[in-house]
Amino acid sequence: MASARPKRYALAIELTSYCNQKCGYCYNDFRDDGGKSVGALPTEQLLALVDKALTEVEFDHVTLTGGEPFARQDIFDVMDVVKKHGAGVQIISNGGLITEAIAKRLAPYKPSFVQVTLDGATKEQHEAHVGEGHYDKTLRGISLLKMHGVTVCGCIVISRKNAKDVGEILDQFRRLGVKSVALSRLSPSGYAAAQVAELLPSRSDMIVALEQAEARGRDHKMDLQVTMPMPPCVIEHKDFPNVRFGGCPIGTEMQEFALGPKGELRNCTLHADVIGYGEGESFAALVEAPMVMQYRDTTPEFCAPCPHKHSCLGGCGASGVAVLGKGNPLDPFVAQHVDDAFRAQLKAARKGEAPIIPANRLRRASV
Amino acid sequence: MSEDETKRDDEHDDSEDRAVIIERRRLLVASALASVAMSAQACDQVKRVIGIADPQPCLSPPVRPNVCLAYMPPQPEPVPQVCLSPRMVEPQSCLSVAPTNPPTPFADSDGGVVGTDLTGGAQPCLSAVDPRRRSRTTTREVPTPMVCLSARAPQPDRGSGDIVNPFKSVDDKLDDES
Repeated sequence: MASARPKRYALAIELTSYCNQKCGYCYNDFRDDGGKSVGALPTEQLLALVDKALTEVEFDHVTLTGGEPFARQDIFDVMDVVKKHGAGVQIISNGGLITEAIAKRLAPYKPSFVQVTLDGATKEQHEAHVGEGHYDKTLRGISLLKMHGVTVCGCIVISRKNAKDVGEILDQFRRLGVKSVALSRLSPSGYAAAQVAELLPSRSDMIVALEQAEARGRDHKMDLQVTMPMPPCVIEHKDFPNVRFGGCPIGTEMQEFALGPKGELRNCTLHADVIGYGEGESFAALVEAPMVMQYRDTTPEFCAPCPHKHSCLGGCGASGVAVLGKGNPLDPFVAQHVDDAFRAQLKAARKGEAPIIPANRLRRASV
Repeated sequence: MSEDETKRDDEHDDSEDRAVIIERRRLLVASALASVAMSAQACDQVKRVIGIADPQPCLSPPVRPNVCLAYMPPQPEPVPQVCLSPRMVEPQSCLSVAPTNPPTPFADSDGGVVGTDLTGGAQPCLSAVDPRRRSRTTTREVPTPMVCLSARAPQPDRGSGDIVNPFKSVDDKLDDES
């Protein structure tokens, strides 16, 4: 019976592992070889899988992502399936493949928004994060979407390279007519785990970024939301009343599952561990698997005395696992300041003495 | 890495960040303890062990889950914080003074709350949910509290002020002192 199906907040569908950009901060494991080893499901199989997922679980909305979701021409067929089920759609894109024709065709679907990332207020700074030749294309993509009435929200991946310039990037978004922006504090999982020394912002970096964001939220009424966990022992949320904060939603009603390019279901887009494959198993059973239901039961050792441990979880568990390994590792964002061994590793790597080989690389090498 | 960045690393010392995080965690713990009813003797003992003169006000409300990576439009209502996994609070992981009377059910939660707002005053329990009753988005149930954080009289057979709490480090120090 339809009403008996479990209800969850969101499903992020990774339509393809291909991406036109080469971001250092990419949280996808498959970024290494540009997605060649992973590929994507054929259209027919993808549409059937999405239909099955939305039939078996009542998702409030889906997030179409990738790789770069607009690299697939059948993205509109996927949206047709989603629409049939009455679920909402939002899209995470780099904007670089959006053409006049795509923007025009997208408008009637009325996605809640297309989220486009800018990592610098200048071409040089943005391309230092995503690779050369993308800044102008991204700006053009944003303009085309807005021209056709598609809601755009911005995103800044805050790294140690751009944290001090967040205010200027927000000003650039404002000039483009974008007033809702996700502040995605770098969480080093997937490919980004190996770039942790180069990109991970410190607590001080984040304070600088948040102070600049707070001023834009207050003075220009920008709607700003930090979209990666920011543990309260690191940042006092109340110091930034015009910025919204959240935490890891895994194991709660707010969870956003990830449906990967091979049809695998994972706890989120950052986690690499597979819960199961929707093609052969029931999505209703998968969303209640022990890997989901017991996720919040364990927390890092550092968090043991903290009253917020069950809500905060010590930050992003996915990046902890990717960089520091299995068990209950602390989010590297916290660990960089309180884990002596990791702190020393970072210091050595930043001096060029020894690179950090993250746990996810070691695991892959041993397979 | 550029020369500038390398120079920055040499100059940047994160010891202040480290100190702030450790101190903030200590204050979070202290503020949690401050909201627990206990005897004056027990309170003094805990404060002495964790090194605070006066209980601090709570620094932060619990972190509410959110959707990572994707922007989420502001919600008209607070984002529900409902854990799908029922977690039984075991005696060893409970902050409360053991109650004399059976805990009074509270009905101010919308089901399986993870974490507790410890901002002072009488507070709901710390995620104490009967494992037989599981919260679902479709059928929300009022959780059955098992062990409560809020003010309770001490249990006679444990002695006044006998503290059971999850703070291993505090426990260890208490043991050391006894």
